[in-house]
This record gives sequence, structure tokens and C-alpha cells, in this order.
Amino acid sequence: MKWMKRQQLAGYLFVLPSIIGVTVFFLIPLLFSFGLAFTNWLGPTGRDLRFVGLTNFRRLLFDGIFWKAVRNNVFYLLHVPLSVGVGFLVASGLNRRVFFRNGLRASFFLPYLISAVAIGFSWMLLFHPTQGPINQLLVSLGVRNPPLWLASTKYAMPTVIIIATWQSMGFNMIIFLAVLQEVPRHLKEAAQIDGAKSWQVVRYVTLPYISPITFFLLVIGTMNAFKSFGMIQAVTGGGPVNSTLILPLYVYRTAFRYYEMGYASTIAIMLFVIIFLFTMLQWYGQRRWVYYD
Amino acid sequence: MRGRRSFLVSLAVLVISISLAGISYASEVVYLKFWGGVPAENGPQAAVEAWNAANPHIQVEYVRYVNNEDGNLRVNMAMQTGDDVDILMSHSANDYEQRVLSGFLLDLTDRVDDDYMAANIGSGALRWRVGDKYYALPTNINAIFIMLNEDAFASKGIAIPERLTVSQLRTLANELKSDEYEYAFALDAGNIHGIVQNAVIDTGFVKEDGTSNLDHPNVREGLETYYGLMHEDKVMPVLAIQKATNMAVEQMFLEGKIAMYQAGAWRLRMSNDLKQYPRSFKIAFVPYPHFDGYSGPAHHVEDAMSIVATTRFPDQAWEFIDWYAQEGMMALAPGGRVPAHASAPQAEARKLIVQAAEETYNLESLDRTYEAGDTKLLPTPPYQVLDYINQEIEKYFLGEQSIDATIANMVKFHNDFLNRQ
Repeated sequence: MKWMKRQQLAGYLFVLPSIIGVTVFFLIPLLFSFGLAFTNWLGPTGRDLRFVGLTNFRRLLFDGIFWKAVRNNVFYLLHVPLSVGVGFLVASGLNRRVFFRNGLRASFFLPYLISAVAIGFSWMLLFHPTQGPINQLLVSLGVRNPPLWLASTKYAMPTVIIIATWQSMGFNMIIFLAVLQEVPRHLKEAAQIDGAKSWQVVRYVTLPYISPITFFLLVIGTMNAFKSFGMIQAVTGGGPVNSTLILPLYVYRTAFRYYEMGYASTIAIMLFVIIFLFTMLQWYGQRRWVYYD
Repeated sequence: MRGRRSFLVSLAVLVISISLAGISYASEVVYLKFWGGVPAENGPQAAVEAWNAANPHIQVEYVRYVNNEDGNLRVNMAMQTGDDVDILMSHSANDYEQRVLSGFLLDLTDRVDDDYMAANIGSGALRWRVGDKYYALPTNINAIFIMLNEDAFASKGIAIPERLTVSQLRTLANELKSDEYEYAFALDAGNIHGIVQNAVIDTGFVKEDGTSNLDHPNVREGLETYYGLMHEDKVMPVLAIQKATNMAVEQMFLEGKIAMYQAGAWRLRMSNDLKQYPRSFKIAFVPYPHFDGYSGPAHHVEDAMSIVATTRFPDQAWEFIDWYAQEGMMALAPGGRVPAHASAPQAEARKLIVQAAEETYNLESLDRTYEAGDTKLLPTPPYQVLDYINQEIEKYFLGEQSIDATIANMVKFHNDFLNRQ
């Protein structure tokens, strides 16, 4: 019995640093932030701090910029299925014997390792409305008025989605590569013997088999999409005219430019609620298309 | 044995005496940390070194922070955590006000009041007044002016203007229109909200009844004029293109591609550098345009130095600030900064700001801009309002909404903001 207690104590001691870390750097700030949402904390030090009840939440309901950021964030989510889809296609291609396979795998994965800000600046050069190679190519192909890309309220978000897809595709590809090698050969052969064509093997064997991983990538990708910051901040700063403003940028701007910490916490809580709802939606939706052994 | 003991005692006494002497000497030297956003090599380091050489008992170390959102956030955190900051230079009135209201900066009332400011700095100092007090001493006149390519004027036979209204600016830009220049006029994209600030220069952002003044007729006139310059006359870069391409209008002006460039003294460092930016034309100057019947924008008085509330040495910090504003600033003149303090040799500093290339300027017109009368401080709204104004006028200049919708949206947002305060 004594030995058991000593073992338990040792266990607690091992996890203690982690518990302290999580408490100090995560739980306390989380609760603090939740409390702040009901105050009018202003300035760096919280001068004239007052409890204001649900005032910040009421303000949120009529805050056009907040709702625009929500809409933008949902639109920005589009890059998640895109990067999962493209990641799957690239992984399928590179799962065969192709020339320079390892080099290609590394080059597709590389963007995931590069700083989001560096990626942003590189793409800014590519999408430069007048001197960028993309528009120069379009002009040489006869397009008279090529898009202004990041300078246009219409095209800025699609451009950001293209960049985000390119950036996150490599991670998805690596995960798919690992799981594609796990798909049992005999299942594919059985389907072929039954007369399935290549695309039918993919549709009815490979995709169901890898569906738990696809689900995992979609959930993680969605969460990350709602938390994105660096690349968009570097590329557009949320502009032009807030057309690429997403919730984390709005939280940052409200907290550290306007010093409205209370209101920023309210937006952060709404961000948490939205991520939670999307995750629950995906969780319930998975029953229809995810297959577990 | 006794000899050895007495030797050890003497040694101990000597060591203790030396240590105490050292401590007493060290205790007389005060070390101050001075944080500012000006790059050290543009003058602050030279100023600090000059001070340190002349004042061995008050040693100052210059710490440069980057004057952007992240840099200002870092400064605030440093002051909040009681980090080593004794003297702080603020560059934006909005950030400065937050610091005052948060209790980071000492009230300078005993040293600086309205009379002091009126006698030594001028009306521009009002920008740094919070309530009825000052918490900083501005040190630099950041002159604002339009730089003119004299060749462009000479080839059209147009005299260098001494003053311009907003509508005259448009007329002039059209007269200067030529195939030789890509644009007749340009300004830095980040300063586009200046049109609205200028429009309410005499009346302020808030009317007497406490509502938004953004529906003032000048706001409409100003925005329509600049829209016309961009889209109808095509003599000015379209804002969206300028922003998205990071169009270097200052460089284009120095390359002779733009005839008039609205900027300020901060661009003189570039125009002085004839090696990197060689040019054959002379640059003349004219003050920023003003609305007919209204004041013109006064030069910015900035780089405001404060004593940080947590410093242990407020008197020594003030001693340094007082010296820096009057004498130390001369080290910054070659970098384009003219001291704001009346006791400083301002005329000498004005020569220094163009010393590397004085032959290439119309100095008479430069002096005129510094001495321009009938000017007033540009009013600055809080960041929330400023950002919203930027967003709405950007939409208007993109052609995505009418002038009526632009003004209506700005007024509504501003009134909502005022009601919340």
C-alpha cells in the first residue's frame, strides 16, 4: 500500500511541471480573458476597470466589422478542403514510382516549413498587379485587364486562399503518403477482380479506408484556419477595405491598437464558440462518411 | 607572526577602503535608459555620446524601438513590467495618450505648462496636451510640404507657388500634366486620411453639439477633388494600385517621374543622397494645400520626450531631456530633424538638413514653408475612427461606393463611437 502511494506521488511529481505550465499559461489566462469580456478594460493597464455585464456582447451584435470578419473567416475556410484535396492528389501521384520522387516530396512539403511571413512576401511579388510574373503572363496571353489580386476587394480573399492552400498542402500530403501506404493491397486487388476501374478503386476502397485521417486533417485544418494570423497580416493586414480581415486579426487590432481589451476578449470568446460549433458540426457529420475498422 | 598579521590587517583595510571608495563613486553616477524610435545612426547615438562625454555623472544609454504596432506594444510592456526605461520618446499622439492615461508617464506640469509651450514650442505642442497637462516635451519640427520638380514648372512656364488651396492644387496638377511625367502629383498612401484631417482643421472632428463633424462640406470637397485627380484627370496614382504595389512614389519623384510629391522633412535624407538618387532638377517647396478660407496644416511637432513614472531619477532625466531638446537635437539635423525648441539654433539646423546637397534645392521656398503663417494643428481622431475613415475613403477611391455613402458611413460610425465614449 505504501509502495502504491509512493508510486502515485512519483507520478504526480512527473506531471507537476506540465500541470503548472498549463495552469499558468493556459487556464488562468483563459479564465481571465473570459472575465475580461464582461468589463470595459481600456489601455495597457486596465484603467477605470468596470464590470459592464453584457454590453460588449450587445455591441458585437451590431458591429459590422465583426460580422464581416466572421464572413471572411468562413470564406477563408475554403482553403481547408482545397489543401486536403490537392494534398491527396499529390500524395497519390507521389505514392507511385515516379522520377525524383523523394525530391518532389521534399519540395511539396517545404512550404509548410517556411515562415508564413516569408511566404506572404514572396507571393506578394508574384501577384504584383503590374510587375508580377502572374499578371505579366496573363497580359502576354491576351488578358487586357488582369485582376489586381491583393489590391482588389474582390480578389484579395481568393488570392489569400490560394496562398494558404499552397502553404498547408505539404503537411496534408505527408500525412496522406503515410496512410496510403497502409491501404491493404488485397482490398484493391479484390475490387479490381470484381471489375472496378481505377477511379472506382479510389472511390470505394482508398477514400473510405483513409477517411479517419481525412476527417482529422479537416478538423485540424478548420481550427488552424480560424486561428490564422501571420500570413494575412503580412500580405494584406486585413485589407483592402477589410476584405481579408479575419477574426484573429480583428482581436489583435482591437486589443493592441485600440487597447479595448474587454471588447477584444469578447471577440475572442466568440471565436472560441465558432470554432467549437464548427468542430461539433464536423464531429456529427463524420458519421455519414468516416469509416472505422 | 605579528608582522604577517599586521600586513593582513593593512591589506584588508586597503581593500575595504578601495571598495568603499568605488561604491561611493559608483553611487554618484546615474545611469538612464532612453528609449526612442529614431534609428541610432540618425543622430540620437551621437547626441547621447556628446552628453555622456560632458556629463560623466549622468550616463545615458539609447535603446531604439521600432515605431510600429509591435514596437509600441513592446515599449508599453517594458514600462508595465518596470523594465529599464527612464526616458521615453513617443512618436504617435494616440500611443502617447494611452501611456498617459495608463499612468506610465510623469506629469511635467512643474516644468512645462501652456506658457512654456507657447514661448518655446508653439501651437503644435497642443498635440501633446492631455487634459490640461503635458507629459512630454516635443523636440522635433517635422515640417510638411509638397516637393516640386522645378524643371516641370519651368518647362510649362509656371511660377513656383507660395501657397495653394485644394482646388488650386487640382488645377496646377492638370497644368503640369505631361507625357514626360507618369504623374503630376502623388502623396504617400499611408497619409491619405490627411485629406479629412485637413478638411476639419478649424472646426475639429466633433461639432459643438457633440456629434460627428465628418459631414462638413470640406470633407466632401476634399474627397471629390482627390477622386478627380485619380480617376478623372488621371494625374495621381489610384490609391489601391499605389498600396498594393508598394509604389515608391518618393523614389519616382527623385527619378523625375512625378512632378509634385506631398511629403515632408523626413524625405530630405533621401533627396540629399545624390549618390543613390542622382537627379538633375532642383527641388522647390510649397506648404500643404488648405481649403479656401480655412487655415493650412501646421508642421508636426513630434518626437515627444517623457519621464517614465517608475524612474528613480526624474530630475536627472529632465536635465537630459531639457538639454536634448535644445542642444542635443543638433546632432539629428543632418538626418532631417529641426529642433522644435525656440532656444535651439533652428536656422542653423535648417541649413544642416540640406547641407549635403544645398545647391539642388530652392532654399528660399524651403524657408517659406517653415515660416508659413495662418496654420493650425491637424486634428487627430482616435485610431478606431482613423482606421474607419481610411477604410471608407479607400472604398470611395476604389470606386466601390458613392461620396454620399462614404460620408454617411463615416458619420454613423463616428457618432456610434462618440455615444460609446
